[in-house]
Amino acid sequence: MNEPSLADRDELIQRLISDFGSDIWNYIFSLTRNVDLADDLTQDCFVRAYTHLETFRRESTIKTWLLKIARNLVYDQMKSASFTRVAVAPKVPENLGSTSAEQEALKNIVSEEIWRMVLTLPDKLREVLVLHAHHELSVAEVGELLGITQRAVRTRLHRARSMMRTLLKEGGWNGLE
Amino acid sequence: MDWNNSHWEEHLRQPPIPNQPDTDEMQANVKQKIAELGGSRGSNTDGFLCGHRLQEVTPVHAPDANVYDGGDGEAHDESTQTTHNPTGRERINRTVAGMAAVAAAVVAAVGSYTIVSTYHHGGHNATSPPTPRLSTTQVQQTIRHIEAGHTISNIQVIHSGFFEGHEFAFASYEEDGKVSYASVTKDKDAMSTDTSTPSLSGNAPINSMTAVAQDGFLLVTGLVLKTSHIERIVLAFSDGTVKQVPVSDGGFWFTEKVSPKAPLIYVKHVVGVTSTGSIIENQVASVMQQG
Repeated sequence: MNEPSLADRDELIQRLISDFGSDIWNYIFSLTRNVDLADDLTQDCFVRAYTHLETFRRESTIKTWLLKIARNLVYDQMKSASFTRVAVAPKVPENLGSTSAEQEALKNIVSEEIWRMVLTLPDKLREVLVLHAHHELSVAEVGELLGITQRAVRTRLHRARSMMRTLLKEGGWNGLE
Repeated sequence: MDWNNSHWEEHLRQPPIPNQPDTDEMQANVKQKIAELGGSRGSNTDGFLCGHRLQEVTPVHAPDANVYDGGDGEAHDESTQTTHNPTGRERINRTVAGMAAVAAAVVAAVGSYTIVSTYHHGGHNATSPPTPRLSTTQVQQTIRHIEAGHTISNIQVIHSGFFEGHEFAFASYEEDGKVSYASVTKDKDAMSTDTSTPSLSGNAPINSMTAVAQDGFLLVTGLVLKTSHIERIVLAFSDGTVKQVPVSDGGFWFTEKVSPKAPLIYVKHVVGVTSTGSIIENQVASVMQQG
């Protein structure tokens, strides 16, 4: 454990945002599929982290702790509001320019398509897959975050992958499934 | 492309959408929200090292001093207030113990993150950060008010959240039997409402309408012919950006805040994509600029 420094709470939060802001935003987006809500709840997540820093027990990583706060906020929100049906798509590349640019653009399109499919998975399966594949959390960490057993995590992961294989096949991505 | 079975999962290391949040903006917004909470004195002090420091002061005659109200619940920096009894029989010098600054060493080693913070305790523990959002009732009342004289039914709040720091909601409803949309933004004391009732004319498969408010609030709504089987709508804006929105119950909507100083942005083309992947293009559409 590091010795306490003189860095204050404000600075710490700014640093946490700098280090984990995108991760938290992406996690919330993957749960809500809503850009505006992801913006709002990510901010709320760090505000809550700010006001509850003392509850961090170091039994998990700071990232897992933040993800847990984010998850609670999302589920609170789900209970209180209906979700928007708007999905904001990225800018379409207007001019691919060169071969490498084309390859990069193609790769991005594939990634976007795969993400689009992931976002259609049922909440429970999507969440486990995103935490494991995108946030690179171990099965144990996912289990701790979600409050479920490792066995349940593995089962959900298996089902998520199975559904993804079906979606990829149906979508004509035969080489990918 | 050469893929193996796990390649698709590697793509999930990419963010779900390319347009990623601006962390600088995020920092600024969080900072603002924290400031709205009352800064660091909004901290929950449970479990913190926390105490009051009393300070002795020299009595000072202050005949015109106002009586200090020590019970306002507000935090004050370490301070001394003098209270004067108009009768002159006694002078009370009061050290505002309850409002004294509290130097609290907040020590929480967080992995590689270590915190030692000093904050001021305001004599009360703050509640969790508020996240007010427009309620369904508020939205319904606002729409009924703005559409007074029309028969309004089936008001559904589609989205409730924040937009540029304001509480914001988007709702669909039926006005005299026609599907309409309303965006409701709450300013400090008032509700700002934009409504639109898109309609399909003739055999046009898509009809959309762009409303641009003077504050830069952009709202695009539209309807598609149900027999067209259009599932997604691609909106091409005059500034070259392209957005995609799903069609739901025969309608679609998109909203965005743009800089009021920026040139007027409007939808130039609307493209519908059907369930079979066919593209149906419409040259668009009406633009309504609102005051």
